[in-house]
Amino acid sequence: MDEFARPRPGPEPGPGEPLAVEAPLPAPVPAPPIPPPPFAAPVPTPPAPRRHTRRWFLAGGLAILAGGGAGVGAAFLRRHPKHHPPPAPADLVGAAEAERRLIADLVATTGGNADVRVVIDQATANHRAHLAVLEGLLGAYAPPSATPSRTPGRPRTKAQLRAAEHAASGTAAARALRLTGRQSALFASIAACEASHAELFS
Amino acid sequence: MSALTEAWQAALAAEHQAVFGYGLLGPRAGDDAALAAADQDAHERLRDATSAALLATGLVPVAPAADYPALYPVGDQAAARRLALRLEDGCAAAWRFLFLQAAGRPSLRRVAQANLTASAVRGVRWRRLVDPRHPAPAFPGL
Repeated sequence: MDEFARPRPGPEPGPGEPLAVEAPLPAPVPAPPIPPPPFAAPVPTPPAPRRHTRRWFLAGGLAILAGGGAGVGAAFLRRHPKHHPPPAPADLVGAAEAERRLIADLVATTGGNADVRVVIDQATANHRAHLAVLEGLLGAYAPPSATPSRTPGRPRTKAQLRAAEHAASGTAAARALRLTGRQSALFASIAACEASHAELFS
Repeated sequence: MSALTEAWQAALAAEHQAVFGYGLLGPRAGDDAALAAADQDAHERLRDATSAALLATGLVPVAPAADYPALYPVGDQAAARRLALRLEDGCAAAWRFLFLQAAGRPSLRRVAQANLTASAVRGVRWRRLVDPRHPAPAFPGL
């Protein structure tokens, strides 16, 4: 069909006429060969009364929601200023650092017979498990201002490893007594584990 | 009964079971007999000390059971080692639980911590015989 032969749109709505009023179908251009069907004939209609359309209700509803939401949000912000996680307790930070040092020394200790290697591997795995739990707990606090140390470990003798595990056990036990709740029981368990490492290195 | 008292009595009950269990496994311990005897002695001392501490606070210490069917059978040395390990793991868990419950009692927490550690150490002596490649759990008592 030639674009000029397309039906013309109907009359523009008047300035006070709502856009969404069900307007009469656009009147087709009268084509002489096919008379337009009676229902499509342009019927002069009186100006439609002002009606509240779905769009009108939708816009109103959205405005109410937006206003209410803004009020609630403002009240929330007044009540809850910007959330800053608290700094991590020194005991948690220190314990994670101690685990990293023990792991570094165990990894750097490459000698030893097969029996000692088994103990080194077990102790390394256990310290990594401790560190994973501690880092999980630290995730609830503000990140530390200083990045965790990444100093390389030093190869140790079996006696030095035993002494280090023994000392770590004592430190963890002291932390357990200072803390409360589940964190304290966690440190109690870590202290017991490190004492068992010391036993295995003896 | 408060949670603390329950945990304390549970620790004593675990020690009662350990004393019974070591008595049960001793005859099957073979060349681990000295280790089993030493551990039995340790648990008997701990049982007595725990009973005395409960009495001192006005509590009636829980009595031992007449028998512990769950500990049977102990047919050979391997079973004896596994049972010893179970007993130590059970005691470690009981002392750790008491540590958790004794938040307001620093001296009792120290006792619980020391006994958790002692059970973990005894446990690795048995565990390295049962499972030499994995002699120490990362979180004893859990």
